[in-house]
Amino acid sequence: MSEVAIELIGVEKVYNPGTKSEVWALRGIDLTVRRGEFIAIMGPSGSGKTTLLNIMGTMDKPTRGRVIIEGEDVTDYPEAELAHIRRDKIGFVFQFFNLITTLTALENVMLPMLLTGRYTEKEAQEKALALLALVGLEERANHKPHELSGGEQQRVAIARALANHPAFVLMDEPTGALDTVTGSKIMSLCRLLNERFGQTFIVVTHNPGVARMAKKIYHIRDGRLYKSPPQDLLQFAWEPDEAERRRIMRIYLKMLRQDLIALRRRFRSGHVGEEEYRRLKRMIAHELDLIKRGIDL
Amino acid sequence: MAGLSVYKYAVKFAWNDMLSRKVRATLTVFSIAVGIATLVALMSITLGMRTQVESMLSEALGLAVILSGKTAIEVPVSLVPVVKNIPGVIDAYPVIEHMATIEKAMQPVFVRGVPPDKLLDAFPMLEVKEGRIFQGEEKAILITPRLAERLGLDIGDIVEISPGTVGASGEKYEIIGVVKLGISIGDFIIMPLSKAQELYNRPGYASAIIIKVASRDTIKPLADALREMFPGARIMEPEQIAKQIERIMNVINATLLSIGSISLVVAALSVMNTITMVVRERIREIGILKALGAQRRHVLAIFMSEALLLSIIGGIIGIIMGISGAHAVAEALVHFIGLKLSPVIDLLTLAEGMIIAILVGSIASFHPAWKGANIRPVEALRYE
Repeated sequence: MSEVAIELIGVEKVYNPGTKSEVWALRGIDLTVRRGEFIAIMGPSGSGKTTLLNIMGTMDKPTRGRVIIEGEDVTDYPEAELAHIRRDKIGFVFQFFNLITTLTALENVMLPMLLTGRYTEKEAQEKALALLALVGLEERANHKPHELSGGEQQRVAIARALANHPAFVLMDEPTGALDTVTGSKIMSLCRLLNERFGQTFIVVTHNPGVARMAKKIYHIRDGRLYKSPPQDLLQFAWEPDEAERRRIMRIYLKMLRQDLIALRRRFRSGHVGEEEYRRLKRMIAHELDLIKRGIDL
Repeated sequence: MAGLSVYKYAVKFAWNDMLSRKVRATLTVFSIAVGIATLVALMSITLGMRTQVESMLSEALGLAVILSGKTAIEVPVSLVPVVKNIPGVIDAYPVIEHMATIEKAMQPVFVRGVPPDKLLDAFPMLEVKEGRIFQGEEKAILITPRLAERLGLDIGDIVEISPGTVGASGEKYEIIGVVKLGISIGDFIIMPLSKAQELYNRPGYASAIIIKVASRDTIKPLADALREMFPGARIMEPEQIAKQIERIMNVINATLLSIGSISLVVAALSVMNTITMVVRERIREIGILKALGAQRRHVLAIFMSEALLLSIIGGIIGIIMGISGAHAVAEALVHFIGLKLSPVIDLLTLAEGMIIAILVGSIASFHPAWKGANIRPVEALRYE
């Protein structure tokens, strides 16, 4: 068994390449996660963390670069084989729990095992019961997801993720839909599983509290990965030039005039009383005045 | 069989999904049921019709060739001795078959004029319900039970019968018997041949001559000989009649089945719509399943089994509805047009109904299910 759970080499992801709406989601990510590690990848929305998660989870393919899971380069695998990789090597825990709503907690945990075809129903059931006991839910085994609390559902999801002894568990905002107390309990459970059983965890989050539970934190900004938090936030102090400022003012002016036209029409057709009309007209005229004074037309 | 248990859960998933949308499932089941019911009912009725016509033909025609004129009553009775002399012929007798109007009745009835001594030969299934049959050439009639019931007629009543068109002056006849004929299409009045000739004012003529033969082998050569002897006449062999009726039956069958298949198209569209909706609702769960490592075939199995469950339930209900529908239609036919018909429900028809239900369900659901199974996991998970 390889020491490395997952390795990304020079991973880039471009959406709609070569078109006007081209978006660079990832710009050369190198990342190695060893077995037994507990890492967090932190970043705000739009930073590329969801894309990174999808690529690590083999649910999306990089535009360039390699994805190596337990020493196996899976980058060019066809979908059917990627499904096997996900089934055998990756455990998923999502923000919104994502249990199958029509199946019980027990059946949800059994599902990954049944998909392998290596367990009989009875064997899968016994093991699923043990997994539910591990996350403290053996008594809720026969409940449907909607009968469980958010925290309980997330624990079922963790039990499900562990079912096939994955190389790593991939968590996407695991506490995002939970209150802070429940959220920290979930993270403590993961921490325990990591320390006692050496289970590898990769948590993607924007929550610094969640990230602190990890042993190692990476930061992602604009598709690049950093080891320390970048000091960059909103460094773009955008100062419009004079021409740009005028353009915006003119557009705003046009909007106000349009309002005035609509107001006059409504006054003439009797939808607005005279007093109301004069009041609104004065307001718009005042605003127009301010703008006209602001720009030299 | 560890690998199969995952499909058991696919069925379970589908079943629970169905239960979670009861109204939609019920409507889909019913649209399938109506389609299958229409088909089963139509098949049972046409099968009943065919069976009845076949038995009717074999008993009514037997070993006989019929010689008739091209129009109403124009076969001279004097031909009978001539025909009787042809080798292979064992008997021949004239009959009249024509429309008439009976007082009180709005619809025309069939008058059959038969020589009294040949009555049982002409109607081998004849069964006297009330009264008696002819004792010679008397001015009397036999009527069918339904006609008696419809017009409130009884033994001993005198009724006036006019030839053909309404308004022509009629003759009065005494009802002496109510008889079942076995052949149950329409209403009949039977009278001695000579009285029918009087009624239509065609003494010495008949509509047809029934020529009886000794064996089946002689039918064909006799018919050919007759055609040569009487080029102006129509010669009907039993097989020809059977073929003609078979052709008509096939047309009726095809027409009814094509009407029935329209309701199957409707059922198919309903299944397609339902599965499309199910796939859309379950798109996130497709994503989860794929993240867990489910293959395309597993996802396909879930949606196909939902369609199959709907089809099987719809098929069963449809078969039950179809059987009762066929009986209802048969009853309505007796009531409104006097056609007595018992639908034939055989296992093959029911099996066909079930197979068609399953086929319609799987064909209609395949495309939406396939599309659902092919959604990429990222897209499925992105869908909120």
